[in-house]
Amino acid sequence: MTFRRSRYFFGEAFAGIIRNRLMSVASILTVASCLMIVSVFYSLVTNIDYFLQQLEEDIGIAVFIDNDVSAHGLEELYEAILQIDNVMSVRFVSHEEAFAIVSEQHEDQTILEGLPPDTFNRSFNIEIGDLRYHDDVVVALEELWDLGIYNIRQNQTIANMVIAISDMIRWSSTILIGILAVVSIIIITNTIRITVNARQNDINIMKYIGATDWFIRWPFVIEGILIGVIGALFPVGIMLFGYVRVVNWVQTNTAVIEFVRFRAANEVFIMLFPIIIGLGALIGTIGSGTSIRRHLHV
Amino acid sequence: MIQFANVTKVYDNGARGVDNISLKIEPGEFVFIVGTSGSGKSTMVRLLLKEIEPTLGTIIVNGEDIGALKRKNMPEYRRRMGVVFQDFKLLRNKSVYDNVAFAMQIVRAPNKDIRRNVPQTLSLVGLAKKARAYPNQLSGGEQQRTALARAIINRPPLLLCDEPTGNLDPETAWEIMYLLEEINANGTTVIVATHAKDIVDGMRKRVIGLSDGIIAKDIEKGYYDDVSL
Ligand SMILES: Nc1ncnc2c1ncn2[C@@H]1O[C@H](COP(=O)(O)OP(=O)(O)OP(=O)(O)O)[C@@H](O)[C@H]1O
Ligand SMILES: [Mg+2]
Repeated sequence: MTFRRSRYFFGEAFAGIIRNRLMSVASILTVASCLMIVSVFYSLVTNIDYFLQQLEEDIGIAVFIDNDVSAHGLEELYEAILQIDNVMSVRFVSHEEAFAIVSEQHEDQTILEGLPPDTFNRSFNIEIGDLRYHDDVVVALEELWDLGIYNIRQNQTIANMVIAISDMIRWSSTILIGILAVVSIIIITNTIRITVNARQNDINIMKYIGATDWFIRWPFVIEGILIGVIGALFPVGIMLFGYVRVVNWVQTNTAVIEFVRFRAANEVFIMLFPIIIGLGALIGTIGSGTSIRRHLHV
Repeated sequence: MIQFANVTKVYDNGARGVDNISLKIEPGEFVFIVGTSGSGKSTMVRLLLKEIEPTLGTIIVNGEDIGALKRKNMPEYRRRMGVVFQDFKLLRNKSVYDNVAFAMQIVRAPNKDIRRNVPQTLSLVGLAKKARAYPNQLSGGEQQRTALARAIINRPPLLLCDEPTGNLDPETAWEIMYLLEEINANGTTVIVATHAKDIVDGMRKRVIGLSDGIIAKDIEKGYYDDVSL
């Protein structure tokens, strides 16, 4: 498509939108609302993901060590644990550190008085790359029992819950976004169909004069894409204006999530805006493509 | 250039447009197709344009059976002919200028050629002053001349005119005829369907007479009222 021709096609596409303004505005607003909901959901999902990431760092596995394991044995156990798949990092907690941690957790220090320093077992704190592999790691650790493991403390229930929540949010948002995309496509299909029908006569004339199918199609395709992209600009604008404000409001007005951080605006936008505009263009293309195939017969 | 071999067109409702007609038109010819209303003139034009398909028979244009023409080759086929439709078929939401320019845009003519040729052709058909008007602001004759300008602007080798003077006063009608004659003199094959007796009689060209879809006569340098042999 040369510049000269694209200028003609864009001119025709704009003329189509203006001739059919009521439907065009309706379609643009429909696309805008659908993509707005997509934007809100995306922001939710990406932030929940972010919260989970922050949580995952706290959900590790602790391997407590028999008191009679020698320094050499510790070394051996440490190496063996590192060999296990999906183990991200292993941190050694000494008797002294364990004592300190416990004493921090108790206000009444008197019950700890006089206890020998090796009362609390040494341990390896294991961080797992992906919570989904929690079980596998535990099974692998149990094989190492003979190397001097005293006990394994796992967080299977919490891990499973976290996985379930994040899976549910991912699935439901994917389905919702799919439904919204279909709704938008149907609406655009309808708008373009109305344009096509109104211009059926002109389309026939163009064909009789020798216009190629694509010469006839392009303006409609561009009309669809324009509707989709213009529709996408609304949520982009609203997000630019609103994201930081909403995050700030939530952080100042709700205590519950005090300890978690939200994703930074630019981190969200850099993914979201290309997705939204691309989705708008895609919805427009599919919408106009469908009506052209069904009603243009070219 | 054009050959009809036993061509019959029966419309969906059973009406016979043309009935088993055979004829040959050589390159560079000027041919009138005459006949009463409903005799099949427009049907012939529409068959040539491949707007409709023959029920029976074969139409050959430039040595090609147009029944076998592939869909993707249709635009190119149609660009080789200029057509003035009986009902004009102008694009309603384009100005006179843009209607004529459209024919050049679809063949990817450079803008500078479009800007030069469109005004030229419009003044040739006497429409220079109406370039910015829209079809619904034009008289029948002006619409007809717009259609003619669009048909000739790309200098196609074949020009099909269905009643090109039907809405014109005698003077303008003759001007258009002289224009067609001039185009023909430059090598374009011209086919004119008409029931304008004066013009046919004044031009003395080949006359093919249709009657109820049948070729009733085909006479070199004929008159409108010539009777069949
Ligand atoms: N689309 C159509 N559907 C059904 N019948 C048609 C159709 N077009 C034409 N006919 C019939 O075919 C016959 C020939 O019509 P055609 O239009 O070719 O006549 P014509 O010679 O061009 O007439 P006119 O001088 O009035 O333009 C007529 O009987 C007409 O009723
Ligand atoms: Mg007719």
